[in-house]
Amino acid sequence: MFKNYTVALPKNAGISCYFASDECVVYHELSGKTHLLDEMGGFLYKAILEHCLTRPQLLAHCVATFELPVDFDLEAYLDKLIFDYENLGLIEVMENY
Amino acid sequence: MNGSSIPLLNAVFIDPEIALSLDLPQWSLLIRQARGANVLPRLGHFFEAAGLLGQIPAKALAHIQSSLIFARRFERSLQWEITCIEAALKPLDIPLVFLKGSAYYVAGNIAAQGRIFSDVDILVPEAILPDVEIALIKAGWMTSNLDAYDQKYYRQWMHEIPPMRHLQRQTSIDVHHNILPKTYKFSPDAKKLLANIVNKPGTNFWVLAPEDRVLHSATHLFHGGEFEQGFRDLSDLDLLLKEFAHQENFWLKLLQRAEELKQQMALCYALRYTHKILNTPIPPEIINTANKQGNTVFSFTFLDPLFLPALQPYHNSCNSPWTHTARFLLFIRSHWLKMPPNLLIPHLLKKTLKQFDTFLKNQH
Amino acid sequence: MKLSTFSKKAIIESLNSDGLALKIGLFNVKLSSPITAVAEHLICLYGAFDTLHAEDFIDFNVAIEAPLSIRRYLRPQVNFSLDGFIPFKPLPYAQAAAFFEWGLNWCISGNSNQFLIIHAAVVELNKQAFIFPGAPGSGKSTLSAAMVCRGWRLLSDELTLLCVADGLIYPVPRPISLKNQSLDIISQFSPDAVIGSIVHDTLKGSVGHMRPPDNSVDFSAIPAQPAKVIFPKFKLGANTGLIPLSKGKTLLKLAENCLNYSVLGLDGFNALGQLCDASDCYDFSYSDLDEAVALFTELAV
Repeated sequence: MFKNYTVALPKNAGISCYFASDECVVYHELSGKTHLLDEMGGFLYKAILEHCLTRPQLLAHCVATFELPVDFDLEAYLDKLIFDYENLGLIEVMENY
Repeated sequence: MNGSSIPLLNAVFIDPEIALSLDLPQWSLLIRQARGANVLPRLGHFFEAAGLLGQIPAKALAHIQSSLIFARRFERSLQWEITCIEAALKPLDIPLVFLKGSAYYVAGNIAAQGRIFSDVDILVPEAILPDVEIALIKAGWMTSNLDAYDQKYYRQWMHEIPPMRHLQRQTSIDVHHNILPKTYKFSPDAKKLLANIVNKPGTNFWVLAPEDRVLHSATHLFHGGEFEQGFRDLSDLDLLLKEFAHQENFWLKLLQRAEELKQQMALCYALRYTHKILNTPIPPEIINTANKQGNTVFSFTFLDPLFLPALQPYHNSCNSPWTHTARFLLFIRSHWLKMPPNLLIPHLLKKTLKQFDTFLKNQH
Repeated sequence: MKLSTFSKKAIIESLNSDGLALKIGLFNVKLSSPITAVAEHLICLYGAFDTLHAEDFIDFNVAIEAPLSIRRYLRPQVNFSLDGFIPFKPLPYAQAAAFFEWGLNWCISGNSNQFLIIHAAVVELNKQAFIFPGAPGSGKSTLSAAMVCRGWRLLSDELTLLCVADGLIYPVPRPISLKNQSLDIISQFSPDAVIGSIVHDTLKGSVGHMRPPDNSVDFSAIPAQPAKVIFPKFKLGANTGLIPLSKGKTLLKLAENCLNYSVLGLDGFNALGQLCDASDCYDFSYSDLDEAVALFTELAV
């Protein structure tokens, strides 16, 4: 995984979201698939819906919002999350140089 | 159906306005015929285009709306499928040429509206067929489960490789290198087809030239042996012809192209039967020329009694006592056309033996 | 006129000729069948349904007939057909009447995309519809049968038709399909329940159908407002337990239980979102029907 990237909504994929308390369900119209995101995923996705974010911005968002255990590897967790969402077509990832 | 009346569906396809005078049982029949012929959403598009949706009785409208919802979703899935195929074949750097239904969709033809089908068909040069197959396998498609004989038969004699299915999406793709089997004496030179392909601006999507699209549709219908979709396919031709008729010199180009691609027979039938069954407006002199070019073996005295019933909507109410026999004879004819007898008879024999074998196995 | 006003002879005659046309909820269904068991099924369970006239629109022309083959003498079978099209493999002759019910489910779920169709039972009390989605074996039919025996209105035991345009549920009350032990359980729970003839050795075991309450049939033109989505789980000896389920999880579980979710696309997703917003959502485990019905009746106050 790249060490810096910018994450945005994919163009023309027809993404819709359903929010209820801290949950986020995402519908991808082209593939017809529905996904339930976990708490942190839903939080970040909500932020990405508003505007695209870089990796440092995403990390800062998480640190500011969640109380994470000391030994929690946030960077690895985030990179995996972004990788998975990209594979599902939920986001577009652009490498930053 | 007797000679003096045509099925309700045909009449409404020719002039959607007449539907406004139907009573409820006639509406039921119209919906049933359209569903049987797999053209219910297309019927909906006709009503929509004529501004009539608001005047349809609620009961009938519910079925039409339901099928339009299905068709709209089908279109989205088709777009997704095409996107996935494009990604899979990107490394090969070839023009992505679509055929039949997916081509009408890519080209934005009226014939694409409400047209539901199961496979995406693409055309590639024969030389790179193995590369295409490998690229598709890498992206998750699999060759269908055919036995060794069928595999060999496809690869040796057909104009396409065995259909491939995507493991996750369960969608299917037909990869063609020509539009007719190699064994067929009227098989065109595929290079000529590829030489005239048309690009969809801003994409790597391509379709056959308008004339070639008509000829492919015609050849598929009039050399094929299955008529469940016959009326739908005839309606495709009707819609393509009406749409392209506005292009400059379309009719003359069509006749000329039929000669270049050895499709005179298919074209002559296509013009005759779209005109006879769906009232397609075709200049009489074009029909005459096409007849001279194409009707070489059989005269219409023999063919009309077969094609006219076979191409009606696939519904009991559109059948005469003779319809089944006509469709069966045309099925035999399609095999006869595609293979010289020295191949056909062993092929049919092999097929029959295999069916017998399956039958025996099922007995236990 | 209600079917119950016709003589058995007249019913058999129309089933044998042009077909018998019934109004079943939103749908006008015309059935032809020469099979006596089918006629008896209708007489026993469809008495409260209105018959239709020659000038009515017919949504589904269906037939239950034995195929023409040698087998009809050896091991008789029946086919279900919609307008001449045969979508399923034939079933043993004894299952003819049940085949009508299963075939009609298929007709409805394939041709009604104005609705999101949830594989769920749905019943109503005090203008509140309770939706019970669930796989076969979850006990949703048994539960809904018990509830309608205690005065709830039956909308459907199998297909919940959620209208995409107005978010309401449109009833298609029909005989409730009961399997195996459920047949005895319901007979004991409500000795007045009318259960048609029981067929053994189907793929689902023994199957019988319970007659829907006449009231539910009479009010089948009136849609209902969804109030609760409850995923039932029958477990022998289990305590009655209602556990709140988050809306996100409910949406996802509902999507898995829909028959045409993929066809409706975004409209289906939005309809489920609205349904979750409008409803309280629960997982529910039970073994005692009386307790279950009492609990829901209290919830519907």
